[in-house]
Amino acid sequence: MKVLHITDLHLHQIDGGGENLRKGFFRQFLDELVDKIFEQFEEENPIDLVVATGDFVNKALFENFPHAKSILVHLLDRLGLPESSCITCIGNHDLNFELEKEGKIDEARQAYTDFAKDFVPDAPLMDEEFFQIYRKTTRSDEEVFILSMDSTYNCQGNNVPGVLSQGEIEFCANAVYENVPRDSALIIACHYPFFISEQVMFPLEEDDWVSNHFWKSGRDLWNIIRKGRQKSITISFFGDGHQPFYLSVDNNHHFLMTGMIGGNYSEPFWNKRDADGDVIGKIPYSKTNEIRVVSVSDTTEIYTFKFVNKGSFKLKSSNGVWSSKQETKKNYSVSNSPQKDDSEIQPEQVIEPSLQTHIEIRLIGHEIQRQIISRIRERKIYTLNRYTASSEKVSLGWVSMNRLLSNDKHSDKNLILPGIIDKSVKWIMEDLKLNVESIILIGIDFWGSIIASNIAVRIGARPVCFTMRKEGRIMLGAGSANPEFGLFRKVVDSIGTLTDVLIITDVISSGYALSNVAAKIRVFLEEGPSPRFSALSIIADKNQKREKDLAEFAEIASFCTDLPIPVLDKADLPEEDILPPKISHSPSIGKVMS
Amino acid sequence: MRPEELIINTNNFILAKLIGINWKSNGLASPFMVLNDAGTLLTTILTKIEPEKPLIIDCKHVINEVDRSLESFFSAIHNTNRPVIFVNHDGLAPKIDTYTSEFCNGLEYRKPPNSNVIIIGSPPGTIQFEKLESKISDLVASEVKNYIARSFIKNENDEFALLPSTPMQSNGVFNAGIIIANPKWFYWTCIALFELLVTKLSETGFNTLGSQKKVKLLSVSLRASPFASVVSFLSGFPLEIIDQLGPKHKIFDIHTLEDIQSETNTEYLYFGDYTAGGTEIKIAKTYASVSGAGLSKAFVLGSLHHPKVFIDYFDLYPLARLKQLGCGVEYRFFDIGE
Repeated sequence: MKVLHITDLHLHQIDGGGENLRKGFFRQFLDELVDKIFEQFEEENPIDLVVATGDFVNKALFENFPHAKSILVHLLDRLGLPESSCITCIGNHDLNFELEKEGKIDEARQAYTDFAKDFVPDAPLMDEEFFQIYRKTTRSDEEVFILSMDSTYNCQGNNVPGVLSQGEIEFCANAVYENVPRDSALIIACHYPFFISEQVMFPLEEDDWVSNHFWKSGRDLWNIIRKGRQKSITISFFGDGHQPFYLSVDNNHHFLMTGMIGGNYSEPFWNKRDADGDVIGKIPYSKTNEIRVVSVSDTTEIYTFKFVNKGSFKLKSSNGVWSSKQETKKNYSVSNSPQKDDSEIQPEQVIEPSLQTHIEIRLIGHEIQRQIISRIRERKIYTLNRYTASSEKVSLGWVSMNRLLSNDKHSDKNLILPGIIDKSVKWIMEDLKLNVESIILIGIDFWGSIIASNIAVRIGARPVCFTMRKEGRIMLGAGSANPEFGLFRKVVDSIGTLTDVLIITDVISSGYALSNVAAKIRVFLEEGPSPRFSALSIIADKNQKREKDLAEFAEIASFCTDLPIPVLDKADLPEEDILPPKISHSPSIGKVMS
Repeated sequence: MRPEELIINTNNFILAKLIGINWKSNGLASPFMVLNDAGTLLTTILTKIEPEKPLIIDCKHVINEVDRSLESFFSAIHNTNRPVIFVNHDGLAPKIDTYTSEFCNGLEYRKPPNSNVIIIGSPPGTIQFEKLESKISDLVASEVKNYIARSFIKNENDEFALLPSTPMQSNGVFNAGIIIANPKWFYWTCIALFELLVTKLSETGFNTLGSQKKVKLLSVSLRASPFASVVSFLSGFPLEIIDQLGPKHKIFDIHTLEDIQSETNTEYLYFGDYTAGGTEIKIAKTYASVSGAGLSKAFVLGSLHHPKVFIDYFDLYPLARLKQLGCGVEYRFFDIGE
């Protein structure tokens, strides 16, 4: 049995503008998606059930619900499914918060209820205020049970997940136990997630996204449900985050958040706001739309279908293609503490600090490391202070690359940089064995660019230089906003099949810059297979924990791994204005060079 | 890089730069010495690239060969009977003579008067040896100007947009990243910049030997730094990089300030990509003066204006004048209207 998951249509300006789901384009958009689904699965009726997890309209524009219905009806029709094969649940944008605040629970949801009533798979087994349980027999005669939940229930008019009482949680859990046979598959659908992968921490609109979007009550409920369904397939679908992730805690329990199918690609920036609601910045937003297809079986295969809008943000009409990809399952350990009962999963165990894992970093050449550390010591070019590593992290150490790699005077034969280039060439050609015709070298900032361009001459690969400014964030945009991405596209097109990207930088501290670059490139290269990522640095403290995403890199190597450069959370340090000013001009000027 | 990217191809001959061959083969630790890999690469060029044309090898700045690295090359000259012309061969002349007599018996060997040239074999009479050195310089300059012209990206719909660092508008931008992204272009541009540096320092009597002054190259932009790094190794002058000194960003990064040393005996040579109003160079000059150093010469890929515009501030040496490239670039003053 296959389930198609869509979420977050966010219908706004449906009569025109930059939404693929607008009236004038949604049919073509969905038809191309369905064609891709048929092409992927090569079956007459590949989909058995559609699950749509909320935010059908944007910002309570309830007048768009009829169009949302048209969209679902058209999709179901193309898939050969009746309206009863679609499960929906409410999202926060579908809710009238003012009425909710007044305690008018049903009225607050009336627009959504009117929309959703056509998508009920036969009579529900249970129909309560905040959940429904359905049994569905698919056309392939498979039976599946669905728990559809209202995760906004009892939000008290605030734009955050609702809070269920313990009694309500136990009531719902009991309803599941009584109505869903233990050996049957269960689908849980709700808008707000109750399971989050910390590697997609949604650094978009809000600083404290987790507090405002993580549905703790859902998690408490799931903990209880799972106790009775240890060996039964349970798949939970979420929306809200607009970013995909897929996690499994074991072979039977899976969690999927799918990216949004809607959205306005012609306005690709979210306004980041401070506590007062003032816009303090613009955050780049993905130009992709996506849906997922999940096979509910022992193997639980996941396929993601993405639509990448290729046009510039100035275009009025979209231009893109759907692509499909099978996802790799990521297993997540449920408990950090061996003393705790595995079935008791507390949210705190899931939301972990981002620097949580040791990434293996390979040392290239002991002699160069010795030279690097020796020169740092001789020239006294390691400074202990407070240096920004990313928006959340601070590095306590800083090495002057300039003085490490340059000669101080004509007679100073500092061969560290030529040695680094030579060894890098050898590492690429003999250890990584990369095909130079199909790789791109990304040089980050000055020294990454210098090394990348010199390696390129030696091996004939193509280098592109990026600057990382503003706390590790590349400016990402079309045209002059970031000419390097335009150049990167040209280089990719000239190569044809890109198999590898090697990112070269001076220091890897938190790893944020590396993982950010790789993530941006992956989004940028939506079409076609994703290249393999490797990284190379001059210095990388091997004992420093780093961003978990770096584990996806095929290889990370460095020329100096034994130099400690501690990285801490900003939150663990005193505010910057407590410390005396860093600039002290007079001791530096007038200092005689050694 | 493929061997054919290491030569400039003309109707009458192909040109290779030996210092570049050394760089490509063995890196920048010893570009002035011919090592085994360079000899092998030269042999490949001799035997496989445009074999019907004479091969000219500019040996400028190369001082020696070790370990009989050129043995296979001279043996191949004999086997292929391809004419080879060595230019600026001072450092290698004894080795060329020795290998020629050892491996190239029967082939013509001559040194035309009034030229710094050794000819092995019988090239066609179309090559004027007396002017070959300047011809080579012109050839490289022309090739690199072509790359610079192709690094110009026109704005959409030919719109004019404000330049980042100067109050002028242009219908496009020059992006040195395009040159860097093409190893062949980067290679030849670095060589051209290096030779421009050497030539101008020599012409202006810039003498560092016996002088108390230190000379350092200074680069303040991301896209200029790769070029500057290569020129640093080829020239032997140390390189200093200042992060984010361009006029669009904050002038001094905190680490830059902390890292300033006294440089009262230093003369900086600025290396940049493109300049219009010279703002970035002037800021670099200010930085130099903060530490007591001087900055009197600036080397760039391209300049909008004639160097004499900046004569009161510094000597500007561009590889190309941007408006003369024929790439369609246009400039106009920024008009804010009434």
